[in-house]
Amino acid sequence: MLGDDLEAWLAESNLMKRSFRACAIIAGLIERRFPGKEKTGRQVTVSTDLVYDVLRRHQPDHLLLRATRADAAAGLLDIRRLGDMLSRVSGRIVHKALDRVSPLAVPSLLEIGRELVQGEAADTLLAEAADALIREAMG
Amino acid sequence: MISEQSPGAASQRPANTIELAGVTLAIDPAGALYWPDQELLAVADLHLEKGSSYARRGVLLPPYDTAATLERLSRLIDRYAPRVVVALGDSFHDRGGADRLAPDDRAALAALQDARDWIWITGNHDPDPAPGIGGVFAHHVAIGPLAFRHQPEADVPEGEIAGHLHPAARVSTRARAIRRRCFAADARSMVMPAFGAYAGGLNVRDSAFVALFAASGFTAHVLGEGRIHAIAAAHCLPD
Repeated sequence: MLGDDLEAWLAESNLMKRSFRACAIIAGLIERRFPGKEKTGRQVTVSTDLVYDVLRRHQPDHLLLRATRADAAAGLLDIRRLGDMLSRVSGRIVHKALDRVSPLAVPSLLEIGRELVQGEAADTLLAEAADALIREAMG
Repeated sequence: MISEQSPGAASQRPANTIELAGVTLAIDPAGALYWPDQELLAVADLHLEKGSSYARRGVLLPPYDTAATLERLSRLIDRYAPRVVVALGDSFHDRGGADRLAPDDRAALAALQDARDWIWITGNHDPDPAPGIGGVFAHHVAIGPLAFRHQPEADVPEGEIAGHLHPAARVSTRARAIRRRCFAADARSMVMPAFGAYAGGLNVRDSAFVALFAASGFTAHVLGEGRIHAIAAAHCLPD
């Protein structure tokens, strides 16, 4: 499971896009806008998400992408450790439904909803919104 | 108003059709318009060579935007096999854009133009015909009841299809607000979303759109991943 699927999903994730934004700012690719700082002349309005997508497709080994992956892997998500752990416990997982949250699960549960998941979700949400408005209009 | 097809068919056929001045048009989630009767594919605001345009002013962005845009266009052309392609202006980000095309991109564009008519509508970014890129140039083109031009007219004539404004809609959903490119259309006229990889978007609640459409309002056909969502512009959020 921790193979290409995860890799592909991660690459699309906001987590990576956020890391890329940080790298892009450090590299001087984009300027961070501070409150109070007036816009001067024509500002680059190209979003880092667009740059990230284009770069990923056409130069996947670009230095900024390597830096992004390194940042994300070490700082946000330690894939290697997770992989090691999963292969270590493989075949020895006890699945048990608890009637309350186990103490070690609390940090995970607190994270739910913090991270945005891209993909089908956006289409589902947009379809719901469109349907809700149609229902409202039909009374 | 909107006909949805089964998800399985979505990759083969456009998910939505739209009536404009009595003509049935297909709108594709990739941001293109297809007119089946004329076998005509239209895209707006490609902004090719925007990356290299910024680079010349000292703002360095990855230069692959042209390749990315042409690749997406190529997928559409494969799918619809149109007889005519209309690029609705601002196809190049600046006057020198066509000259700066990389050899690979130039070849890719020539391959797309092969065996079909290609009409470049001139835009404010690319007002002059560019030599050496094939196709014909026009300020606007009228086909049957429809007129294709870059900049929407202030007093919109019926059947107008324009670009220029890069419409985008912000939609409030159960979880969060989602901002996407969209078609802005009523029964008389349409503004197409920008197709270019680096092209930004203008919120449909901006006053530029209010002036174009009747007081009865217009619909934002919001581009999703694989389908289009029709939402009244009045229900979209400002930025």
